Amino acid sequence: MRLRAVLLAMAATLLLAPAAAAAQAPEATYRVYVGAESADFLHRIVFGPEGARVEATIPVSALYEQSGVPELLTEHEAPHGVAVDPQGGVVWMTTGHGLPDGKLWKLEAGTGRLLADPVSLGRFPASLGVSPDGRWVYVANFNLHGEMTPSSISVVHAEGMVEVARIETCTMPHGSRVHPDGMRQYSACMMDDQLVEIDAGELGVARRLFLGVGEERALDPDDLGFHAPGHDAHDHDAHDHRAHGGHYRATCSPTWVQPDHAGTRVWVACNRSDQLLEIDLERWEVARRFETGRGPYNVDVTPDDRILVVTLKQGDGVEFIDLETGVTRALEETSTRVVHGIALSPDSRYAFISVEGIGAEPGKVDIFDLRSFTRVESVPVGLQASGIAFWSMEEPGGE
Amino acid sequence: MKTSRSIGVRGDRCAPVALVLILAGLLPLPGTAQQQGTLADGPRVERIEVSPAEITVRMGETAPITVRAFDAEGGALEPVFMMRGEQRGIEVEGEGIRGLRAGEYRLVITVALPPGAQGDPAETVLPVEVLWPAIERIEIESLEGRLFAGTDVRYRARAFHADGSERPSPEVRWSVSDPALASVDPFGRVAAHAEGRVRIVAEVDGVRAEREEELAPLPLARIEVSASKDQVRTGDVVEFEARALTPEGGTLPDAPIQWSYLYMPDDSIVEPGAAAVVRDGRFVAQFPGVYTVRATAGPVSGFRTIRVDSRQVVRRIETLGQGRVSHRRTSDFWVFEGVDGRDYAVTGTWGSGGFAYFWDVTEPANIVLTDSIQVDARTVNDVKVSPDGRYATLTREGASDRRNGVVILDMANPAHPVIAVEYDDGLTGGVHNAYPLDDYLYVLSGGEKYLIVDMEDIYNPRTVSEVNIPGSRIHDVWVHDGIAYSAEWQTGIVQVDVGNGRWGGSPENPVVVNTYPLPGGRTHAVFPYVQESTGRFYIFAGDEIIGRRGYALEGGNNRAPYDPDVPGTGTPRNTAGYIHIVDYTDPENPKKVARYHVPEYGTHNIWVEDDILYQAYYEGGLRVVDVSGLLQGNLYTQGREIAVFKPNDPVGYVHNAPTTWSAMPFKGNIFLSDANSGLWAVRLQPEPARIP
Repeated sequence: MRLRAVLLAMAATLLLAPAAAAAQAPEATYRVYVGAESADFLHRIVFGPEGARVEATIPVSALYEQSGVPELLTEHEAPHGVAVDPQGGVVWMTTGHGLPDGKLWKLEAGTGRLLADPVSLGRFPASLGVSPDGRWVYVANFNLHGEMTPSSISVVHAEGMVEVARIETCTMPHGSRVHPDGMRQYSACMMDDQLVEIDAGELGVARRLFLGVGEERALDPDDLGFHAPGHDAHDHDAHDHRAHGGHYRATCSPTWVQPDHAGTRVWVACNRSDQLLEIDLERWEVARRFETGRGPYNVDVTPDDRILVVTLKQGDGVEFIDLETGVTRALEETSTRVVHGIALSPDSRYAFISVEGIGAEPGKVDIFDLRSFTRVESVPVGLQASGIAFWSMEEPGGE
Repeated sequence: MKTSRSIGVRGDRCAPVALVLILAGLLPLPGTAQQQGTLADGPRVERIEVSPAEITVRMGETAPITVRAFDAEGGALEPVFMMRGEQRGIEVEGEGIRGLRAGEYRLVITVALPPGAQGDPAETVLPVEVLWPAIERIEIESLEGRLFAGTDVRYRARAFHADGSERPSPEVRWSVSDPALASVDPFGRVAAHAEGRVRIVAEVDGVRAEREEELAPLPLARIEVSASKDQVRTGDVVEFEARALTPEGGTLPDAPIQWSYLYMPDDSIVEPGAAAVVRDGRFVAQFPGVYTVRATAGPVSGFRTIRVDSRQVVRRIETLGQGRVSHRRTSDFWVFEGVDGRDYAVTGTWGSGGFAYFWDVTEPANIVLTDSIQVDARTVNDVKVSPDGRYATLTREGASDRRNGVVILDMANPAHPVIAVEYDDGLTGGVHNAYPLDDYLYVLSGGEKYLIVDMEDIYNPRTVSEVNIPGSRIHDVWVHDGIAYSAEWQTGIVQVDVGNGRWGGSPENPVVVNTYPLPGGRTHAVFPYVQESTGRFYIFAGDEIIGRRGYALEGGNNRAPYDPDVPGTGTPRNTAGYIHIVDYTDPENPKKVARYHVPEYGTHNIWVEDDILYQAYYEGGLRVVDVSGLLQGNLYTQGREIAVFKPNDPVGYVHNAPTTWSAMPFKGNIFLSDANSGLWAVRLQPEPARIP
């Protein structure tokens, strides 16, 4: 059923957008930043009339040398999360490793110059979101390599680089995104099947939504999840999903959450159940459910509210879903495996997809045309391409 | 759990619901004057003023502050404020700032704006100093024996807080009750001038403590000094003993003995002034010459003179062969005799796609690559082979599914091993190091802990226990005589009974014995060693410090071949750190006795055998060091270096940039791995080299 819908949508796409047109180079010039987690690089990619290429590479070691931090990297620092503030002047990057904890870095967009000493956060700071005014950064302390215990969201004052709060949420929080009104922040809990809403005024958890497949419902804001000390998995009637050791085995395993531009709903990628959930923020319940390809990981919506773009981490592809109808318009393979992040151009024209690769394969930034849903470029970058963020777009003839 | 509280609501875009609640006074705002403010005042705020201007608070206490706002004309406003403290050290509490941890932190104060307000809100970021808690008591103790009239003794003051914690490095003001009887310098050294009763006073943060001393006449006739040896070489530790004798011929055990030495160089032009170290009667010379070691107590002293000759241990080192790896960075290696009787080595790779290489090194001058294995990883950081040669371990970092774990190789055919199993149960974090024994494997998990894995069936490993020191980060583990020693950064060396039995431990029930922190907090590698020449048991523990920030020779940490588009590439890295040598002969009372510190480079992995240290010293290459006899001071300055080998390779991954990772002596030769050039075999020539 789903395959037929995809084929029909793809056929329509081909009629509407000839492949020859899709292959044309863009008239505008776009730039994105992307991390390379196993190479300790932050790359800037340019895509324009001349094609796509790595325009600049910033080694994490060079950032250390600019900083006043006495510690220098001994192993991989692991750049993971990348974001550009809404004003476009600052690139934010998290590095997952450290002694012992990872950091948040603040760079000047364009030059790559370090703007302030990094601030140490929790265990494996990963995805991050910036408030609409650019003044607060919310970082999910993913704790990828640690024990299965609740971790936190760090809240950092951007100007002062001051971590003002570390809000305990759940086990392996990921996918930090801020509501358009700046008053709420969302993250997902991979191991606890939760969507967590933080009240930015109170700096505390305001609401939780349990996302276990077929059991979605609101939870108590104080519920730190199945891996909190003293928690009984029976509390959620989820006893069928417990793995060995008594720990809960997630059925949704949410990896990402993305609010819409109007601020009325968020989409959550259920990496394990191959679903994308649309959550009504007012009713705090699942409003729509999209079946996806294997392993949805990140999700974003085009600025024109037309297309949901979903990376399929285990499915080695990108899925493009018509937001209005919920129909998949295309499901395209990426140039290599382990698909990661999404950056969308503000003109809703291109999707920049980071793909990690495996082993010695270079990471990639694959560029997809959002009209034809075809891959138009693929740029090799450092090992294990990770977080990606859109920085700038120059119109033809612009300065 | 909230770690910070707010006054008012945050931001320039207050949600309508929040606005209504604030105006209705329904939000639980902390009780400051600011809560009476209005959002409407927010956009007009030009300046925020905080009193006091410099915020200082004691740990565990709350300091009140007042926040006021003014418009462009200086008129007072009453906006809604939001205050956030740096969560690791302070929090906003009631009308003030509470200190959680001593240090310097920052406080963010922002004015809240109503919905739709244009522009950024006024805000200020202020420093806050959190002082230690108040001192409750002070203890004064002598460091050098009893204070007699006519002698001087150094005292130490230890200051404690009400909760029993000790103030680190307290600033002590010293004084004495009667300056005619005694005087004290700023470092706590008290000189007793006459007989009588005197009080020694230590004051910390206004809290005083006194220690009364009876200044009796010094009942000392003479001091006899004996030495364990009269003629030694540089680096040899001589144990001097002082017998303080009374006029009646008895001994005075608490005589305040001070040690010093007089040095007569063989050549007064080239030798330095400070040539030796004497501590508690243990003396070691760095340069040849004649030394007079003196024991003094007040006006009485005794001495003993000894001769120190050059150590003369330098030997030439010969390159035998290289298994070049120039297209990837090499990591650790292991050399071993395979079950087929031939000699082999396995090398890992770093940040290079998960490769391990297997070499036949039976003829060190003809190292032959026999096979390679690629696993799902970016880094195979550590490779080792079990003592019985039955299995090998490849540790994985950067696996594509982030379930790293360890790869177990069946070594039945050492030239062409096969993967027995990829074991990641409890090892999903990056696995940095492993230590395989015939029966158990000790394997690190994500820098948090190590697991102990039953390896009876290498195709079906089974975790039997784990060791996790709370709050500690681990980097290396080594097992000797049923005790596991792990290197755990700031925690230092962790000693765990995993089968020795002295503390009741076993692999299934490991028992933590103790931890021993080392200066600098960068404990990266450990190597336990029973010294052949003395029978003492040492732990050699190495730092890992990259980048040399703060040293006269600073430098970066390049890991990549030259690329004109990437800054810093193609250059050698720069490291620092040294080897700490800790005497564990009494395992419950370890004591650091010596170090090996080459100032311009940094240490990595360690091996000690036959009283020789084979130290991988990153860009300092392989350093071969004589570690025989008692050890004290810095071995580097004592003429104990036997040889240095820098594996330069003009076509290396980074050209001519030695970065030595590990070294192992094996069947009369020395093998080493180098990050930029692969595997090397070298050999010490038997005869000492002639020192020019």
